[in-house]
This record gives sequence, C-alpha cells and structure tokens, in this order.
Amino acid sequence: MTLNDELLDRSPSPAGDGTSVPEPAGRILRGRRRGWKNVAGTLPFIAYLGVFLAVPAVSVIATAFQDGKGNLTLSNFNEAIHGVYLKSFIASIQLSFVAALVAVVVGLLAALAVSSTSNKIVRSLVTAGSGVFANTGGVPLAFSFVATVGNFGIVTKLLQSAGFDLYSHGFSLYSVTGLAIVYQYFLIPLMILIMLPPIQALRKEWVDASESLGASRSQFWRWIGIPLLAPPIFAAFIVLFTDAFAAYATAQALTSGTIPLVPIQLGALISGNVLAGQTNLGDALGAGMILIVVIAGLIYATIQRRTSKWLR
Amino acid sequence: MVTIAPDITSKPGSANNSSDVLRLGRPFRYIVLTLVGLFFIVPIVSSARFSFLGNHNSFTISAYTQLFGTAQFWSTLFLSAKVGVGTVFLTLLLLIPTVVWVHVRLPKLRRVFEAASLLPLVVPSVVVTLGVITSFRGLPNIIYGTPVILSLEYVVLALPFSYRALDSAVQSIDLKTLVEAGQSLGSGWIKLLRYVLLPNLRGGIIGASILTFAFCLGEFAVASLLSFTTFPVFLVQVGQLAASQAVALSLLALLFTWIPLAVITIVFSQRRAKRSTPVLDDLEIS
Amino acid sequence: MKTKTNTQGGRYGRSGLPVEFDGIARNFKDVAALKSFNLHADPGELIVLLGPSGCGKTTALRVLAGLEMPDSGRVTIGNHDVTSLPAAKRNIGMVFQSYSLFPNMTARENVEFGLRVRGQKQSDRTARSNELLELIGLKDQADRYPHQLSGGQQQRVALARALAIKPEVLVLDEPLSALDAKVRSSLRDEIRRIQLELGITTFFVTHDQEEALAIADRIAVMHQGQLEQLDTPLAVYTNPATEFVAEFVGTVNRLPGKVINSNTVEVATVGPINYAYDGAFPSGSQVEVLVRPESIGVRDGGDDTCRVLAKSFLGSTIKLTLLDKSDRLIIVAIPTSEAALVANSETVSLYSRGDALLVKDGAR
Repeated sequence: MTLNDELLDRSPSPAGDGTSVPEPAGRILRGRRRGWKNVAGTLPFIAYLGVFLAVPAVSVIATAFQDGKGNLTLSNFNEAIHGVYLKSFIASIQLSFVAALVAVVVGLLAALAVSSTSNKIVRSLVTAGSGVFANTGGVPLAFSFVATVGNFGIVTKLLQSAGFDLYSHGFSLYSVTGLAIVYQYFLIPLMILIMLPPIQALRKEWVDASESLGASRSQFWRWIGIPLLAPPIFAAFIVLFTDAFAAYATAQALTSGTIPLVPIQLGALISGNVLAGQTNLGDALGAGMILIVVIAGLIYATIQRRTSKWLR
Repeated sequence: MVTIAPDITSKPGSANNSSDVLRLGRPFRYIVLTLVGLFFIVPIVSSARFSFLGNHNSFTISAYTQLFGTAQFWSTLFLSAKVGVGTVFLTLLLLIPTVVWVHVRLPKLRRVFEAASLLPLVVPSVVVTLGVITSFRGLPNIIYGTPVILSLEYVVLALPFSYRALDSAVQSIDLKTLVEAGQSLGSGWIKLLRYVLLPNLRGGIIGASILTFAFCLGEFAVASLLSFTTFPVFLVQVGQLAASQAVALSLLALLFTWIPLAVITIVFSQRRAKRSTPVLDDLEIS
Repeated sequence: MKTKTNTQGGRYGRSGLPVEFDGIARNFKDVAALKSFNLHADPGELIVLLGPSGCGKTTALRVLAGLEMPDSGRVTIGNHDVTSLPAAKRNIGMVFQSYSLFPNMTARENVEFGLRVRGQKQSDRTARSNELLELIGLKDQADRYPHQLSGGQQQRVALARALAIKPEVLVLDEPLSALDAKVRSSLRDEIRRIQLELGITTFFVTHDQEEALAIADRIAVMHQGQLEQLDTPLAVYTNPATEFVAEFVGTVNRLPGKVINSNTVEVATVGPINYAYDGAFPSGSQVEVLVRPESIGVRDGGDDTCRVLAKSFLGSTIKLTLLDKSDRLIIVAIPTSEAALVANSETVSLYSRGDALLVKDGAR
C-alpha cells in the first residue's frame, strides 16, 4: 500500500508542471487544459476567500497609504507610530509576549505531566479539556474572571477575609497583568494541544538506542530530546503570541476600552471615537497588526519547514 | 479572539511509549496537573457562586429569573442563533464540495488549501471589520446593513477550524476509492454525494457545524463594531449594569459552548483510538 | 556441527566473546515472558533467536542489552557477570526494528553519537564514521537526515551506529522486518558479511524462519519463554527436537501410521517410511508421523491415489496440494525436473523418498 502511494506521489502531475522530459506539444496543451479543469471546482472557495477576506484586508492596507482625499501619503503611519498608538503597540506586544511565555512554560509542564502518566482517564480528560478550553474566550471568559478575582470577586473576597487584599498589593484584573492572567485560560490549553503530539512522538527506541550507545538520561535530553522539542515549542510560542495579540473581546469587555492595546485603539477608531483629521489612521493601525502577524507567521513557517519531518 | 479546533488530525501518540520516555516522577505530575486544573476550575466555581449571590451573602436565583424575563435576552440569543445557522449552512455549502474536490482532483494541493484555510488567522478580526466597513459600505443595504454580513464574514473567520474538521474527516476515509467505486457502479455526482459521501463524512460535518455554530454564538468583535446587538454584545451591555446577571449569563454561555465541544472532542478521540489498534508484535508483551 | 571458523576475529583484531544466559526469568505483570531461559553462545557466533510473537525472544535480547532487568538469573559476557550493569555501561551495539535513528541528526552524526557520548575527539570520530559509512556503502549519504534515507539505508546506518562503539556483542531486534522482500534479503547477506568480517558475537531476533535458516550459525528456537532447541539451521530443519520446532521451521504433513519395526513405519497413503527413534515403539502401535513435503515423491497411476488440487511452481520446486482418499490434505514438493510426472495427471500415488521427521505416539 505504501509502495503504491509512493508511486502515485512520484507520477508526473496531470498538469505536467515543470517536467524536464520533452513532451509533444499537444500533450502539454491537453495537460494544461486538464489542469484548469481540475482547479475549476475550487473556484467558489477561492472567490469567497477573495471577496470576504482579501478585499477587506487589501482595502485596509491600501487605505492606510492614503489621506482623506485619496492621495498617497505616509502620514497615517507616522501617526500610528507616535504617542498613544506607539504605546499601544508596545503594550500589545509586551502583553502578548509575556502571556505567551507564561503559557508556553505552564502548558509544556502540563503536557509533559500528562504524557508521562499511563492513566488513560487523566490523559483523555486533559486532552478533551484542552480542546474545549482552548476555544473559550471572548466576553464570557472576561466575566467569569470578574466573578473570581475582580473587585468583588469570590477569590478576592476570600483572600480579604483571610487578611490579604489583592487590590491593595498592586494587583488589578483590569490591567495588562490581569489580561495576561485571563489569557492563560485559552493559551495554556492551546499549548497543551500543540505540544502533546510532538512529545508523544518521542520514541522509546531513541531512548533505548542512546542508552545502548552509552548515553545517560541527561545526555539523551541534551542531544536528542531537547533539540527535537525545541522547534515545536518555539512554533507554539508564536501561535500563542499571535493569538494573544489579535484578541479583542476579552480585553474590551474587561476594561471597557480603557486599556491602551492596538485592537482596542483600533476598535475605538472604528466605533467613531475619532479625532478630526484621523480618517485613515485606523487603517494604518490595521496594516501594522497584519504586518506583525505576518512576520510571526513567516517565522513559524520557517521553523515548520525545517523541522516538521523530524517528529512524525 | 482566534479559536482553534481540537487537533483531530494529529496522529495517535503511542501511549505506552511517551510515559516511558519521560519518566517523570509521580509528585511532579500530581502537583502540575492539580495546579493547572485548579486554575481552570476555580473561575467556573466562582462564577457559579457569584451568580447565586444575593444581598448579605444570601442565596438567590434572581440573576437568572431576571435574565430570562428580559425580552432582549431572547431576541439577541435568537439573532445569534439565526446568524449561526446561516453561517453553518453557508460553510457546509462552500466547504464540502471544495474539500471533496481537493481530495479527489487535486490531492497534491491538499496542503496548500489547508494553509489557505488558515489565512484568516493572519488578519485579526478587528482589522477584518475595518476592511468590511471601508470596502463594503457601498453595497446594497440588504447585505451590508443586515446581519447577513455577519454570516458572510463568520464563514471566513471560522474557516481555520471548520475546514480542518472536514478535511480530516475526508482524509480518514479513502475518498478517491469510494468515488471511483461509486462511479464504476454508474452513480452520478449527486447520488454519490447523497449516498456515499455525506453518510461517510457525517462525523466531520457535525464537528465542523458545532465548531462554527459555537464560534458564531461567541463572536464579539465584528458584531459589536458593526453595531449589531448579538448575544455577546448584549452580554457586555448587561455587564455594565448588573454584574451578577452578566456572570450568570457568561456561565450559561460557557457551558453551552463547552458541552458540545466536549462531546465532539471525545467522539473524535474515541474514533481515533479505535482506528489505531496497537501492533502486538512490535511490543511483544512489554 | 558447530561453526568454529569465525572465532579468529576480523580485521579489527578482536575476537568475539562468549555470552551466557543462565536461568533468566522475567515477568510482565501476570505474563511470564521468560522462564528459566538458558543459552550459551560461542565467541564470534551468530545466534538467531527464532519464534512466534510473544515467545520471549525480544525480551531475551533486551535483557542481554540491559534494557530489561531479569527477575532472576545471570547474564555473562566473556566471563563477566553483567546482570546488574546498566545498558549504558555494557558496550553492546543494538539495532532496532525501525525508526531508531535520531531524526535530528544526519547519518554521520548518528554513527558518531556513541563516540560523542564517550567524549572522543572530533577527528577520531570522523575517522571512525568514515570507516563505518564505507563499510555499509553509504559514504555519499553521510550528510542526509534519516527521513531522506530509504528504510534499508536507515537500517544500514543503524548498524554502523551500533558498530561504531566497537561493541563486545551485537544484538539485532528484527532489523529487517520493516523492509520489503528484496531489500531484506540483500541487507541480510550484508549483515552476515560484516558480522563475519568483524568476528563479533551476534544475536539476531526474527520470526521469519527463512531469514533464520539463511543467516544463523545456530538457531535458538523459542517457545513460551523457553528454549526449545539450539542447533545449526540444518539440524533444526532435518532433526527437530520437538513437534513445535518441526511445525515452526518449514512445512510438515501430519499423517497417521503404524509401526512395522524399529526403523520403519507404514504411513497412510504414502507407504513405508524410515525413521530413527531411540525409544522404539512396539511393532503395530498406532503413531502420528511428521513428514516434510520434499520427503514424499509422486508417480503416475497406482492404487492408493490422491487427487491433485493445486500445483504451484516455485522455481526449483513444484508444490503440489493433494487430497487423499480419506480427505487428508497432503503437501508435496517435487524437483522441477520431475514436472513431467504431474504435467497431465489429475491423480497421483505417493512414495517416501526420505526419512520421517518425527514419530509420535497415538494417532488422532
């Protein structure tokens, strides 16, 4: 069966793309035509993505380079990287970085702990739980944390009656720190989901082989385990970073738009809290967000390309 | 807020293996899992407690009764559900043919289409909203001025997981052979779809539908910025007036997303387990 | 008929060491994988552990490698008791079934791993890995990663990696079972060539009897955690110690028979067959006789005929599937040179052309 698959894989594509073997012209033509026919069925999908994703995204980027009258300008970007907007970019990146970092560490420990147990119930409980909680977010999450460690939250009051006042010790749920904690609720499960497959792909044969070759446990981790897990960990960090960076609902619901984060600022601009002369500033912020996510995505793709074949 | 589907495509990890590779101590496992578990349970318990909290620490269900008595609760829930059903319908209409087509006719481009389905992750939903406003302002009111635009955009925003759910369902059956077998028996495409593909893809279709619907019920950014009072937007409005009602509502919303998600996660993982019977010979009793 | 030719040591100037399993027992939960397992390997010998899955052969190998600790018993290598020595200290080269190469390292880095662990200088490591990559014929693929190598190439690298540390004993755990037939037989011959060249005592686990017969100095047939027979391939095939060995190695026909005298037995359909049995059954006793397909000949005509159900041509032999008058299936293998005998016949009669393999008490 595998042999067959391989043969199928290697057989030249019907589109005849880039085969160096000279072919009669007629065959190539026929091949091309068939190639187009093959793509035809996917055109609705491509068109849909084009209209409802590419058009809005491109229009944001294009508008970012125009002033109110449609002339080319960079002034929107100039504005976007100064004052409160620069601060919000920095705050957003800081928040996403710290939140992702914490989730990477905690999620990794949890994934390791789960993988090292042979208890099937614990395993499936954590896997199912992670799948569910990674999808949590938005407004309900914000309010459930308000109920927990908000000004009048249950845990806040419990600690108060135990003699410890969270809020007089500098903690606030309605701050960047608070958000970083709330974000853990979907970032940690996401990390667990991402890391379980690569951790479980570590094969016992590698441990046995390294042991029989004279390696100690720590040498196994130093030369095999960690080099194999590092790329997925790094890739996971980037996924978590972008996830946190783009999050809007939780922050908006928790802080009523008072916190200086890029999505919040952009939301405020859209909702019409715009000062005169800032017509296309929002588009510049949007373009900036896309840029940051694209950079993260490129780093992610590079890591994946280099190492995705290691752990299979 | 970007959500990701439970990873139903990942290969079954060899369970006996990794615990042997890691050899982490029991205390480590218990401490880590307990602490992390608490972090996830405490907010739920607190929410429940908070929502039943009356004056002077009394127990009351007034938060819930008041909510259910509010007309807007029902109307926004209905609106969100309507948008959700529309989105699910559009998603299936668009994706089933696409995924099937890619598997049968363009198997080499499967990864490319999978990557394309992840593109919405590149554009944060706030930015999408802004783009929708700038580019679709001129469209007829029936599209731009009604919740129809929400459904149209939600199809895109939910794509990273709806596509994945369908794609892995198709991947798990030998679609090409099924199609060829059907065709060799003289079945046309419509009959093929009805009698062969849909029954075989039922799990994936249900999974994709639930994920998409859950997404629609929870989506806040696009709806609020386009000024539609959907369920989450209503929730924020309530939150500014009555905290305990907002918390009660949140708890309900969370449970309503978690339960179906838990069901599909468990169903998918069980099916995955069934498909991977261990090769005894490999292990030889160990 | 023990092979003593390989004990001189190969071009690396080492001679192999004797290995001894002494009363090894190992249980997994309720299952006894090994129960008082004894085996002695001579220096430089290649011993194949053969048996069905679950017979304990892999466990025996892992106990030798130190990856599994026995519940009781002793393992000695070259007169040193290594029973309590951890795997990392045993200096045993091990090749696994598949996928054991470290995926983040090139072929060369894999080969050098054991040397790196031992803190050898880079120049020494390179010299050694060159030598071994040459030995396995993969010098040009030295910088490829495992996923860029074919299954056969991966197993060659795994062999080179195991040999790089100049192990005292080499153990191979079904190293060929994940490969396709052609690669399997060529790599099998290559492993044997290298093993003879190095003169290293080697244990080779397989469930494939053909592989075992082709490669072994001696075959250890295992069954339910115990050694059934340890002998040369020829002896195991022609003179099995037990019924299990006879059935597991090669094909046998089981036919009812009646003892005529101390060295002849009358077998149903086939006729008189010679047998060697020390205890000798009394004349006239009912017995069951195990006969190899090639010990039976066919001829045209005769009274006691069999129907030819199927003929399959296997190259040098033709395998006939026959049904005798009492509806017993009989498998016969005749040399291709006798093809004319069955060219057109639908019925044949049988005669014995070799000895019975085993004679056991009581016909069923």
